[in-house]
Amino acid sequence: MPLDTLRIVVGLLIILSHLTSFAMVLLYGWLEPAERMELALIISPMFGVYVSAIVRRVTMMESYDRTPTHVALAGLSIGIALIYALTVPAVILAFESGSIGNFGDLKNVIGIVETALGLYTGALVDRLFGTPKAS
Amino acid sequence: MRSYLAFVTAAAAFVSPVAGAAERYEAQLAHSADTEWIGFAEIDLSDAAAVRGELCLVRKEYPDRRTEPRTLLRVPVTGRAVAEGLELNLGTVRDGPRSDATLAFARGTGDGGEGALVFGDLLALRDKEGNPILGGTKLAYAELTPLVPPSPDFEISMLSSASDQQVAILLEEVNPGQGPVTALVPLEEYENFTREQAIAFEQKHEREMLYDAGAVVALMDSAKIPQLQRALDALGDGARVMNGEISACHGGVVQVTVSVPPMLEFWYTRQIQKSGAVITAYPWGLPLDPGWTDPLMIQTAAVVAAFGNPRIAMAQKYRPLWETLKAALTRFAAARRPGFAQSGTIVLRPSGAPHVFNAEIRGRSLAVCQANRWEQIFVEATVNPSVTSSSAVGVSLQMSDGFYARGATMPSDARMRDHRISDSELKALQDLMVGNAQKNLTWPAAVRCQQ
Repeated sequence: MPLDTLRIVVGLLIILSHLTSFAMVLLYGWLEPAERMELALIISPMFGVYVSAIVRRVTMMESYDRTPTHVALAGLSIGIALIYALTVPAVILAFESGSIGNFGDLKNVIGIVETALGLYTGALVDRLFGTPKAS
Repeated sequence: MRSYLAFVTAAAAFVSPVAGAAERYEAQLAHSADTEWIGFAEIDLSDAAAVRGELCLVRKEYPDRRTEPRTLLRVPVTGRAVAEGLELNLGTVRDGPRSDATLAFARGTGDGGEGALVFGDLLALRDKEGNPILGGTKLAYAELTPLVPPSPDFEISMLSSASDQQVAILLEEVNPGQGPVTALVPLEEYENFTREQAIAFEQKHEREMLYDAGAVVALMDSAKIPQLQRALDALGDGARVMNGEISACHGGVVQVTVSVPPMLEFWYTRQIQKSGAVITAYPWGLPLDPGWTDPLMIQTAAVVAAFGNPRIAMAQKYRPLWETLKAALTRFAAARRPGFAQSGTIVLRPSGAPHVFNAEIRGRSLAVCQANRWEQIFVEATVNPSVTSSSAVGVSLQMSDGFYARGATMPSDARMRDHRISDSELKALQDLMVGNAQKNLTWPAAVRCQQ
């Protein structure tokens, strides 16, 4: 898979997940205003770092980078991004459906998810969207 | 209430006893709610098999207003440390707490929060109004709370929101018909109020909970009690440190009560905090509940007959009354919220006594009318003998506690517990119910939720 194609797929997954999560937090009616704010503040730092790196890199693109990527890198990147992108909204959805009982548990689960997946996702974002090294 | 609990938890953050050192605790012991002792304990845990120490106590009184020194009781204790906590034997001291048996203190969740060493059950000592319900001369409750100075941040947060330095969290503006609105005043402005301004501010705002009138509690180094008294004297209202004699037990940090003019508890709290003599100071919070309603008169023949018939046993006498009341609650819920019955439930809960009615209402919101809001409300009721006659049985009730959550479907109990319904909202609901009850225990359309 060309490098920029991989970047677009991974970037879109993370950005869409970010927007979806925030839409769920802001638009669903089952959160109190204070909870809404608290949850947004929990979710936003990690997402913010990733999305800003993605946006920064994409806005610097001048030509389409067709450098082939190793199949392992492509597979791992899409896999990690997909898991991360699905997990955060899924956790919020689980809270809405009652599978996660209370707000304290929701914060704990989000924290665990961000800790567990954040390291992989961070490495992936850094690899694909980090500042290009001066040649 | 939440603020008070937050304080108690913060003040009593548990520090695990370290072998080889004498541990210091705040101590609270009770035979019954009207026989209590408070003070300090110093316990040497260096030898787990031979723990020894001393309780230094004074008799607690309500309200705590004495000006003369109280008798200090020094109670020797011996025992051993076990995995679950401590086993202690109390020495016998005249007018002191007594226990013939070894007291097993377990780490529990007493008033002191997680990690306090607790014997017995405090709740068993008091009813909802704090009245004694257990007599006797043996020790029924004891709690040892590790003595840890509270976080310095907390002294500000009692009076103000932690984020914006404003007096906010404990005061609500009286705003009839529109629910409570949190009042904000910058802390700097508040602490510079004159007494007269502070009283006027208090009068304009309703607190979220009750406070022991005219009392401020301070945690401080006992050596600084004279300094605090001098600061109080300088303010000139006759405020006094009331129970400084406890400091004679042990040097170091003690908790004292300061008698202050009523309506100035918060203002004095801030002045005491600023005196530099205390680690922290706070008004002494008391739980607030909506109180009991005016009596609801029940004229149902079966109910009245059950009370008038001496052949009906106690256990059966109240059954028709509670069934009638449950049916009345159901009708009120349906009148307030048409469609309540489709997903709502009203369940009678065992109260442990036939004459006490306990029910849980769960379903679409009744206290606050919002489309996607669900509520869980606990109702207690008891017969009011002063208005009960041969033609009607009077029942006083209170909606003692309530929780809510939003959702498309009924949220879980755990989710409900995230949000407590305010006492003012519960009071408004119970007044709406009793105030609009018609003779046949039905309710008019006027009680219906307007969304």
